[in-house]
Amino acid sequence: MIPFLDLKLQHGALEPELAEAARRVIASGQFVLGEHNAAFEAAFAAFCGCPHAVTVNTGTSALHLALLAAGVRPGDEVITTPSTFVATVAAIQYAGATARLVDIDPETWTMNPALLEAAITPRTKAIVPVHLHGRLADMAPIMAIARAHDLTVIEDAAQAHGAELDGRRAGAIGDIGCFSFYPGKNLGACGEGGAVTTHRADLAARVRLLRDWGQERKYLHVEKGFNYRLDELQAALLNVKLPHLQSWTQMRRHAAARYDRNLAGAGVQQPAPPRGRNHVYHVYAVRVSDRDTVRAKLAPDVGTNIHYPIPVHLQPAYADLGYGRGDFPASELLADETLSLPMFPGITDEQVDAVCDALRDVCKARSSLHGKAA
Amino acid sequence: MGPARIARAVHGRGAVRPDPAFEIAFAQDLAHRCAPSEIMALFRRFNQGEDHIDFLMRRTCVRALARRCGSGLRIEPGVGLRHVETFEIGDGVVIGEQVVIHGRFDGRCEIGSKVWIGAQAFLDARDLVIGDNVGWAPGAKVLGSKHSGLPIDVPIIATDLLIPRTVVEDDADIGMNAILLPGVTIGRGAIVGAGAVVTKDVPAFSKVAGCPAQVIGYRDGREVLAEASQ
Repeated sequence: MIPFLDLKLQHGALEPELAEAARRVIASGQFVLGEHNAAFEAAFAAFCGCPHAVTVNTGTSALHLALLAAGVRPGDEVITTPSTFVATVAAIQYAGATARLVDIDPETWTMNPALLEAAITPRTKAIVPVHLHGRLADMAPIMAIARAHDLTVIEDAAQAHGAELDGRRAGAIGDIGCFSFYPGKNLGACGEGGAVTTHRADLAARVRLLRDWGQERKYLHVEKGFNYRLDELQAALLNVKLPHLQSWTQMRRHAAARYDRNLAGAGVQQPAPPRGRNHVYHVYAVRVSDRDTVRAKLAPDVGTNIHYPIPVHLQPAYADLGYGRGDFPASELLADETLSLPMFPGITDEQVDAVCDALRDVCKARSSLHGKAA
Repeated sequence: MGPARIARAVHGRGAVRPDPAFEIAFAQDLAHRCAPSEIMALFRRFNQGEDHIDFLMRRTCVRALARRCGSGLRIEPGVGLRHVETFEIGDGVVIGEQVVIHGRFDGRCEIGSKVWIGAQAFLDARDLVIGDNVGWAPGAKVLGSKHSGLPIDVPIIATDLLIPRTVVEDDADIGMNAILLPGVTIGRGAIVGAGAVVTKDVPAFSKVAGCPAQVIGYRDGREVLAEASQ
């Protein structure tokens, strides 16, 4: 069985360093917002090419505080896509704003800039493009439209640590970047974690204030903030892991290139080729019709996943958005047909080849079956 | 001695590219938010590694603390820095592995542009001025102060310090394991030989060697004796 994700590989190699980092935190007695957080904020800012990074406890908190720092208030509208994890929309609602959705581009599977302008209203305050699967959204036109309408761009970079566009990294392209360090992410904590990155000192300062109960100094609360701090243990572990992120990304890209080659002509639709180094392959997904059957046939040998089977606008909990089936056909098609294949640093060429062989066999059997039926 | 291979020099030939704006802002943010001791703690945390972030963090921490820091500063691992707040550093400076630059709280340490400091050098930088394009070979040292030693009934270590300015002018080259004593001036373009102990000023474009260092020649071919007789 080839697992969909194997975190034990990276943790096994780093186990002594991770254990030592954890031991140091425990010995220090400082468990919240200490030196490990400060070091990680600095290193992650450096990694992203941003002057400011502020840690928080989850990626969702990062989005929530980014929206608040951008001045989003109840009654405002924020534009994002339905093809994302629900946290993107949830954070907009936490801020009291209304999420207005635009469909994705069927080729890149990220926000379709051609649909963006029509969604802007006088109440629009911000745009949240999602770098889905680790591929940067089409940021150049999105930024141009945002600037023309004086809107803040908040990158949902929860899956895109290190993705680059013309030498700038995810989180440093828009006004604010939001990251998740959920364990399975390209840079994952051993628990929850998140961060906000920005070029603007004012936004960073506000996120810093809001994450810690709005405290300007201890017990002086200048506004109503949140308990969104990252604990020292996670920061210390992230400090151990961050230096390895580049090589892990190279491993992901190597595996993706092998998938690309092996699956050409296999009867699945592959992701559009990335531009430059703009993809870090948090997920390697293909589109295949009758996806659930294919997945079931692969199941004994190959672990797969679906990101995400129900787009946000069709989730029961988000019926209040007021959308229905058919409103975002590209997102719905993606939800119906994508299949995420095993992808993790350390996946071997043999494992990738075996996944591809299995997928080819299933697709071949299916097409011959369809041929007989016809 | 066999024939020497000739290789083109690498350091200092090209223009120094400005550091990206985010690095400047990053350093300003650190300086604004963190105490100097916290910034030095960060420096130490990133002081052993050799990946992109380690180099960037070392450069950013120094920029956050120094009086001035130009672009392209490269600090190799294991460097020890004291009183960075007194440092003024030009563009394109390289500080080699395990170099120690030891300033003083009320001192002055000027390092010009495109200066290259080799591994394990020791710079007592209480009042040190290094010009542009200076080469400082591995292990070379400069002392920055001496005790008066008076009165003699007081332990020398407890007598007042004399801190004269030590100057290394533009384009000079300090040889491996050379030692400069406090207050000397190494003239422009001079060469201090390996292991030399420099106790007095060195003329521009001269070559000095030995202990104490003596002029053994001039780079422009002038005769040493002719020079002395003038």
